[in-house]
Amino acid sequence: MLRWFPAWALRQALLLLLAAGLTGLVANHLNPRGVALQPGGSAIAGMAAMEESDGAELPRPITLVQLQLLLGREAALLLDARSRDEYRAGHLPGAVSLPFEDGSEERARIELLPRDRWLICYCDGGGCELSEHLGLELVGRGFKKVAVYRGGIEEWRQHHALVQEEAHE
Amino acid sequence: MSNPAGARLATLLRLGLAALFIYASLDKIAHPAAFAVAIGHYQMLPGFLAALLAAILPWLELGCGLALLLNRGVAGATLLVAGMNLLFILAITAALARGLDISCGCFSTSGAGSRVGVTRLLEDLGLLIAAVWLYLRAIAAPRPDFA
Repeated sequence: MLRWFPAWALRQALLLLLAAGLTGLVANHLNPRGVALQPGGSAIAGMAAMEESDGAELPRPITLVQLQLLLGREAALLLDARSRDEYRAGHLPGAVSLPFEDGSEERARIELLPRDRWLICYCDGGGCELSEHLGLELVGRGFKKVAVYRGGIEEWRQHHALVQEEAHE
Repeated sequence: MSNPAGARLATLLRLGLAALFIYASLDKIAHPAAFAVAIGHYQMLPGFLAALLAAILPWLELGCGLALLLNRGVAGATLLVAGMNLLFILAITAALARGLDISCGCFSTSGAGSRVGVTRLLEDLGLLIAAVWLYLRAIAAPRPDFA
């Protein structure tokens, strides 16, 4: 065993590992796009709790990381609560336009939404309310899996250059 | 090990691995949060460990890449590269076995990056073999040049 793993080679590996670990932790701390490292408060643990809960009375607020996880599993549908024009100017990838303030024609589409996927409402971010209103309406109509991504377009843009611009209806 | 063709091949592989690992680290170093999400897609680690791995692994890739490039501490670097590739192979195999259709997170953290698949598995296997061969050469001709 010792022949294959001489102490000096292991020392080199350990030194590299320590240097990378320290640099990584410091760099992550300084990077605005760093990942949150507090145990327990992790997005993925939060996701598990979210998927177990049922019969929600309020839309669940979700973070950017939770949103990305849901999208990665294709378990979610993004709903853009802003006006049709704002949607056309740029929206989250794969989002469907469902303007909260539109008339009855738009409202009828709500009944067509899937009930087995998470419906994630968003608007501009920074305290916009359309997504909250849309989320409440969905919960009111008996949808159980409703979430609101409060970061909205604004936070998404800070982390992803990609905001889809073509219409997608 | 005095075979000149072998030595040339070793240099070529060393520099190739160096370039690949340095390149692979850059996007992940810039976007730890996005890389944590990519790790999360494999559904193998609890959130905190996925986050920790996302913060550290890219720097380890960079460190090993630089060591290989500069020809310093090659034994340690190739040992770690082999270990990382072994982990990648396990993760991809587990993902494929469970039928997960996820982006690899190998070179890019964007969800649009390449998907996990058998091609990636074979690539990683090739890299693993190269790293092990370089490691065996390095310990056969001990030049403990750092640490």
